[in-house]
Amino acid sequence: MASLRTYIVVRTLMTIPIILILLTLVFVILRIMPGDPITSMIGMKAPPEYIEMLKEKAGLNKPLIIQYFDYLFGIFRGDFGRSLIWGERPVLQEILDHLPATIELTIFGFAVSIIIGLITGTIAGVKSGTKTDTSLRIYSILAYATFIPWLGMMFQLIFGVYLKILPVGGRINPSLTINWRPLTGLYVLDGLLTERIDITIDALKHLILPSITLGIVLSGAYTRLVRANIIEVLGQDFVRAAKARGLSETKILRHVLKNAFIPILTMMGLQFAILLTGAVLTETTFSWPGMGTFLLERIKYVDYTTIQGTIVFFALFVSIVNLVVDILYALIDPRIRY
Amino acid sequence: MNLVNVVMDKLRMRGLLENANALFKAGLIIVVGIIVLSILAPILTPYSPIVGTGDSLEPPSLKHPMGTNNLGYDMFSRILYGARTVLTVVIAATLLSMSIGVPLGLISGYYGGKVDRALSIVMDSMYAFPSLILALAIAAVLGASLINAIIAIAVVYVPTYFRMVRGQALSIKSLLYVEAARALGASDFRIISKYVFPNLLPTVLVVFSMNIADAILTEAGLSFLGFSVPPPTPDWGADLRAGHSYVLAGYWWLVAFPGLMIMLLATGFALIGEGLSDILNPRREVVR
Amino acid sequence: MTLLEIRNLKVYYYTRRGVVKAVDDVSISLDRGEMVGLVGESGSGKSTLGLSIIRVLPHQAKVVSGSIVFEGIDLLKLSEKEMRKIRGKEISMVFQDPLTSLDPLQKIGDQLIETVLEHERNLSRKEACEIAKKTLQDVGIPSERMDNYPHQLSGGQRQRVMIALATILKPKLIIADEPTTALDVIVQDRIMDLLASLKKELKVTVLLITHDLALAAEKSDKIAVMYAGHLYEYGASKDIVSKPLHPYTQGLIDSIPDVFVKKEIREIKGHPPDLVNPPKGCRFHPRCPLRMDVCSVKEPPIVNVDGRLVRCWLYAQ
Repeated sequence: MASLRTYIVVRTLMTIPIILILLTLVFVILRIMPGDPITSMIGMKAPPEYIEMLKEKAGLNKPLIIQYFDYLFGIFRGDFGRSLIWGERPVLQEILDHLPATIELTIFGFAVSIIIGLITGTIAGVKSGTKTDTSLRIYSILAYATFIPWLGMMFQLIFGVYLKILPVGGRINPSLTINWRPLTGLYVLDGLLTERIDITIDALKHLILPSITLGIVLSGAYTRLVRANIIEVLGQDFVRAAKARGLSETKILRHVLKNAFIPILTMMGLQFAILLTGAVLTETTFSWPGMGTFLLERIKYVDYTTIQGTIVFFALFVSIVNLVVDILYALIDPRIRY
Repeated sequence: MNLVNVVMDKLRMRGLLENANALFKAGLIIVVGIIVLSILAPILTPYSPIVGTGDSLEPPSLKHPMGTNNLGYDMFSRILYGARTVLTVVIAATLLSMSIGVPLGLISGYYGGKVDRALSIVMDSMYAFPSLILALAIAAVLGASLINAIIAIAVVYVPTYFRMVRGQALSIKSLLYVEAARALGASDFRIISKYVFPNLLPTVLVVFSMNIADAILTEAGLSFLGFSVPPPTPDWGADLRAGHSYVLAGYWWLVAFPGLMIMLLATGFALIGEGLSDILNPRREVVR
Repeated sequence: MTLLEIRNLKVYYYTRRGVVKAVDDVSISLDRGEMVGLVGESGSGKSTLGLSIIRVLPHQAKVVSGSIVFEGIDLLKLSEKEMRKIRGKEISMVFQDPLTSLDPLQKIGDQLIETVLEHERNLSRKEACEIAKKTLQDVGIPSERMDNYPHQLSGGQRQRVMIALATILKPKLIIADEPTTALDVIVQDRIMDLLASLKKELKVTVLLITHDLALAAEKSDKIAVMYAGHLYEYGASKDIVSKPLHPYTQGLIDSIPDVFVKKEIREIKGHPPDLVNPPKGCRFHPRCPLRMDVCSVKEPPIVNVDGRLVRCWLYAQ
């Protein structure tokens, strides 16, 4: 167990340089350009006084080194800057306001993708080499190659416009939220917690199309993963030995799944970055008020500090999730040590 | 009896190779088909993709096989010329990415040491970050243009090539015959070019095809969000962006075709990658 | 009394490289209650032969022709469902690597119970548990270990568990594929003793597949020598070891080091043949010190020399 502890400590410590590098990268990308970032984002069309004011507020007139350290220390203190547009609201606060929507979407989308991925991947793996396998592999390629906004729009057309059975955008019917305050920000949960089942149901209705869209496209990658893992486990000796004892295919499959399941789950966790990318596109398509829509809106308004703060937040978020997943994986697989 | 057996032997073997080749061939047909169509665009459609035809928001008809959008552009024309845009951006970006990532990976993997450690951490950090958001950040700051889109996408994929090449270089480096060559006094350059690089080639090809598929989706994402080529340049993602608000009113042809094309082109490249991967890496057989 | 009779068995592997003729027309029979050592180098086809009996071959392997008659039934003609009833109950197998041959996520007791219940549906779980405990004790593992996972046991103990799994339903034939190769020498000995004593108690036939001629000679009643997909010699162990007929067998014996007798170890020159394109005529001829002209032209038939089967032009006309 000592080596497990070492792994956790070392891996956590490793996160620090990774985060520093990401933060520096963000800093560099947003600054080391010809001219200054505000001008390049707005273009020369805005009046110079406006640009100057923004630059002043964003602290871009200070020497680069000072900017860098202000930036780093600010983040360690939890200060992600203040919005240039929205009355100096702390960026972190704004991020936290929009985060739950993205989390809720991500959770449901992830769930859909796991279900599809596990089922198709297992079938493809077990029937490896047959026509079923090939068609499922083609499915996974098609799913992966699907452009999320396109799929989302097709669903909107079919279910929202033609069949009129599902809402096409937003998280919830606004009329339901008069005199209602969410607790966690996850409406499905909040509805249950505040004894407003109607809110939960409505939130679920709004979640169906976006999560299925996100889930289908993500499942493409997962089918591959699951299939590869199942094939790997099927090739292991104990499967052959079990067959030699006369165990039925179903029994053997159960053993295989148990063995394949854990690496599959943790590998899925490592795909978190892909999940976020998909979430951003899904949000824009379905007018989902989450982090993705938030970021894009601020980019449109050239709210420089908010943009910087949001990207920094993404970087931190991803790094921490990766750290947690790596540790979980090490907990389960005794071969992963330093 | 013997002849039947022999023939059956040969057929059974063919089965394996043919399956892999089918994927590869299918992908190749799709990709080459789209490239040819885009080259033949002027012949295939009389309309320009950026000039209004006077018929706006028309559904697909004989005159306009894929309908027209709100500005009267013929969608079929925009699809064909859009292919040019997408292919240009994506291939240029991928080549740029490779030309930076592969040499860096080779050096890092082969020489190791501090340089390797430093580069690895940087590349791993970038790799872990969501690709679209990174590209978005770069493109947003640089401004929306063809070149900037190429740069943004190229930067996002450098770590992919770096990691792959570095990994391969590491494992090839320790192969016995490479060590033998080194003991015989072969120069590093010679070793890299004669042993390491040729062994990388198959894997690079596979990653290259899969990567282009991914880049197509990233480019589409970028232009959908408004950060790739500026309008009215024909681009599938841009068409989706423009058509988004009209979809809910039922103008399905504005987005159906561009989205389908994105999927088709990405699938084509992905199939090539999968097919190549099968041919080059025979899988372990399982007990049924 | 014959328990198992294999006639003209051909098992080929269909790979990208070509068709590997792993078992190419082998006929052999096993009597009740005896231990037969199937000896050969890797690539000789011995493992394939063993796997073919119980029909657990990888899917690129196909039985091309031949028959495997077990108690009067041709196993190759059975459906998968019927075969499953035989596996583990009438014929069982012990594999080489006990670490990878056991499900790492299942307690060993449960693996035993599962096997019992799969074949004896009318038993209760409790009854199956009792049987499992007793079988574990028979192989020398205390029943407290029922709740252990495979990685909590030593290599020798794991192999005992494999043997327990193979004997728990009192089969008539046990195929042991290199059962001791993955173990150290002292444990090897104990396992072989266990196998031998089980054979005596249960009156079970054991097909011991091994590359170790000395091991086979020590414990088995008969020895069958395989090379490149063919059977080359088959007879009583004592006779084969004291007076080997086939040059290959002689070569194998010469290459065994002996702790007590100083002797020159001679290896067999050359290397095993490519099974996609085996040598013409007798497959051993490129490496045979007693090679004659006819050996490279025609394959020798199997002849019976004083109760021993040999495939060699030295003894055939």
